[in-house]
Amino acid sequence: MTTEGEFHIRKPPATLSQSQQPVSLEALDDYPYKSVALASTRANLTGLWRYWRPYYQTKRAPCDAACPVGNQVVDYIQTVVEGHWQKAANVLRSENPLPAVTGRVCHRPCELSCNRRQYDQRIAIHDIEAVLAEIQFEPLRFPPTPVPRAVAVVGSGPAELAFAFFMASLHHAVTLFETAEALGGRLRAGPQARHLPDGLLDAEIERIVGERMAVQHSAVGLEELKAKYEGIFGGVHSPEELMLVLPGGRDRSPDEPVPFPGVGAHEVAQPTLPIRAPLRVSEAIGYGKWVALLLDAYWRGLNPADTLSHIQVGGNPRIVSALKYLALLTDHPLQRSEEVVTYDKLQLDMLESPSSWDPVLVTEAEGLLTSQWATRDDLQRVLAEAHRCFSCGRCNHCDNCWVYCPDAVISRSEGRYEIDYDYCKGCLLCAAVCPRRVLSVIEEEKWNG
Amino acid sequence: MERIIMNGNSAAAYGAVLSRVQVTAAYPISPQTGIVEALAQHIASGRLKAKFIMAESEHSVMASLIAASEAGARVFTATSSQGLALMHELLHWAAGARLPIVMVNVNRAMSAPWTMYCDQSDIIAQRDTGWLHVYCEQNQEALDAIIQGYKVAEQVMLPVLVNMDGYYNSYTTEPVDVYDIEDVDRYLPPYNPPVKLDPNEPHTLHGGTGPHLFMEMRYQMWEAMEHARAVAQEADEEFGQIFGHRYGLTEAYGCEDAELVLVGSGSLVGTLREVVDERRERGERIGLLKIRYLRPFPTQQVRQAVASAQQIAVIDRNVSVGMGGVFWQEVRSALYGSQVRDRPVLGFIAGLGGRDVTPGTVDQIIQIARSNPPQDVPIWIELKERR
Repeated sequence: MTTEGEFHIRKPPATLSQSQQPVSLEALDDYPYKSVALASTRANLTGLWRYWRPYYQTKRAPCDAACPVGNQVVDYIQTVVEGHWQKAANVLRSENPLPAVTGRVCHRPCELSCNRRQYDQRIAIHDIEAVLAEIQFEPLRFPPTPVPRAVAVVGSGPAELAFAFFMASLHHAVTLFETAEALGGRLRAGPQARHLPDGLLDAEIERIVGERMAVQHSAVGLEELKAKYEGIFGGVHSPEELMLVLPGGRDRSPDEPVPFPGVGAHEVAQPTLPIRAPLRVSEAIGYGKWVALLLDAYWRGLNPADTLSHIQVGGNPRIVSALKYLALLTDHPLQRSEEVVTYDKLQLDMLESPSSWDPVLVTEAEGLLTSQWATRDDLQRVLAEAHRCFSCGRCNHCDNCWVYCPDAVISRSEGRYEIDYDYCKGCLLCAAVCPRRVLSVIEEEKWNG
Repeated sequence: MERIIMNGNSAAAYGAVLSRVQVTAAYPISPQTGIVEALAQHIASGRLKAKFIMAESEHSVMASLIAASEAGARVFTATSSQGLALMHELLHWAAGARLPIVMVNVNRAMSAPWTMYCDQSDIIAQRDTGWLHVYCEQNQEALDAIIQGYKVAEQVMLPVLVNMDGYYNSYTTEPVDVYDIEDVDRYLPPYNPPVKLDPNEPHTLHGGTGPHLFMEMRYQMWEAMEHARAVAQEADEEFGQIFGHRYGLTEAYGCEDAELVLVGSGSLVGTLREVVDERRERGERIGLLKIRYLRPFPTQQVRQAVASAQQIAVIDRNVSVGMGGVFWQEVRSALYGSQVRDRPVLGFIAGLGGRDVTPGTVDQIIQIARSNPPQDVPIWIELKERR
């Protein structure tokens, strides 16, 4: 019979907490007040039981995969949701030199493919794009090119402007030839023009041209251009037929084939790229960008077809991403799968309830506005719309995996989750509760890091 | 402080708010539903910063509260009758795991036959789960017992069941003092568990335990419960100093010179009080012993209160079929071996399934007690006669 001593709650001794020594409980005083193991359970590497391995992998939303420009739609929308307006504008402007225009005149394939369209109503992506276009941004910076080239751009429609913009960003010397008084080509004359408020197009074009390229308002012949430029792009013969002409130069004879993807063998000696006309505005922008990035890759000594496989979006070789090209050039491959997360791949039962936002975000964005084409009301509307985005394939830190992991092997810090594979048993509950298919699953033996 | 007219359910919800509970899981069941609804409103309005878990059963309620409590949160819930019964195995777990959970039971008779009305058969059935059991007479007491409950539970690391009577407390309004939360903060510091679930420092909790280890774990529970008497006394005393309400583990009312002591618990104590006041005015030496704590059982206080009594009449709003009222058994057992062991201890069964225990009922009990009835079997009051 134990005598009644002074009552106290006996804590387990802290010194035993990491030990694997057998615990001796000879006396009542050795017992902790509750049945907690006196040794750590860390020695038990339960991860060895795992057959399936869950891992985080950002994927593609259908909107991204449908955008002819190569916009990273979910990235910029979710960056807005995270409260980083300028970063979101950077993402937008990195891929699209004319967002104020496409936000108003695009045929919106992104919205047609938006998963939320099957749930209730599509996200008004064009609206977010048009408002975000008026936020201050920092232009994308590519690493310097070893040999800057002289490039001529004939015409100033959306394809030509996009081509000129990316060529200039990639440090080439661009000269834009336009016989009309104002730049913009069919953006000024075409049926889209009525959707663009006065002055908006001027401002947008000024952002592209600025000090970064020369503009000549005189007529010029192809032969004349061939003599002075190593690359010529645009409506050389007529505005309806875009072509790329590579006359040769310092390190290339005019007859040398250029391994451009999609160009037939007989065309490579003098690659001209006729394309199906008429292109829609966003397709034209995407096309100008496509040619610019691949031409730059060629000039940097990279294989254009190879490059395309690295920078295409959603497995579509007609859509390229400038951010992916930058990652390729700087040797920082993006940990992103181009698998498209279609509606059937979402776990809508696990979707978090709509979140509210801090009105301070609107005030912050107001301070970043650069024009009168977006107002406080627009910012508010767009912020609400951004919060409706499902963030398909892109982690938005909903915490489901972290909350539901029955073994608490998922840790969370600074917006990143990590799985402790020493203890993950591969139950895959995390993958089952991820609403947006960010968690991928692979058989352990097929995993190679 | 604010004095508000409210029913017992609202008072219980205020008790949880003032205790700054952090997690509450609940499943609605009459007559407890008002507590859950009020808590949901307090949380939605921001008055209480807590996580509200809507569970799919009372079993899950207690399971989630056990987990939340292991993680270091102060947790609260309320239930009644079948809901409490559904929690049963987890009540043992919560106590064995030494978790300072506070739960309100708004009592309601166990079915069948189906009933919604008051008696103690639900809570009495949970007597041996290792929880502290507190029986409240009034709405104010329910609010106070919750705050005091955390104060005691978090010192002895055992859970507390606060009982109030369905309908008589839950749906009856009384003036209730709602204290300033800053004052309650002075009384009840934030919960800081000696051991908690920590993914960074993982330990197995409550794993398989062999016969060579188990008894000592139980003995520690026993020790903690024994110690809880003193802790509860102190907690009640300190509470009285700050808030002006003192209850004790028992309350002896006019017992010093009493020939007959009526023993009761819960809301019927109010009725007994009325009758005792009236009888004493007429010069009758009748006293009242209110038992507030059933666990730990206040043996010494009970012995003291009935020291001068010639007769003791225990009124039970419950029945352990095959033996009698449980408070009756407890009192008899407490007196065995004491100097009052040979005084008659009468057991009355009254008010089951919500039947009113009126002053008239108490008059009958007194009358029967004075007629030297049998002592070894319970006496059923206001039972219909055979034809």
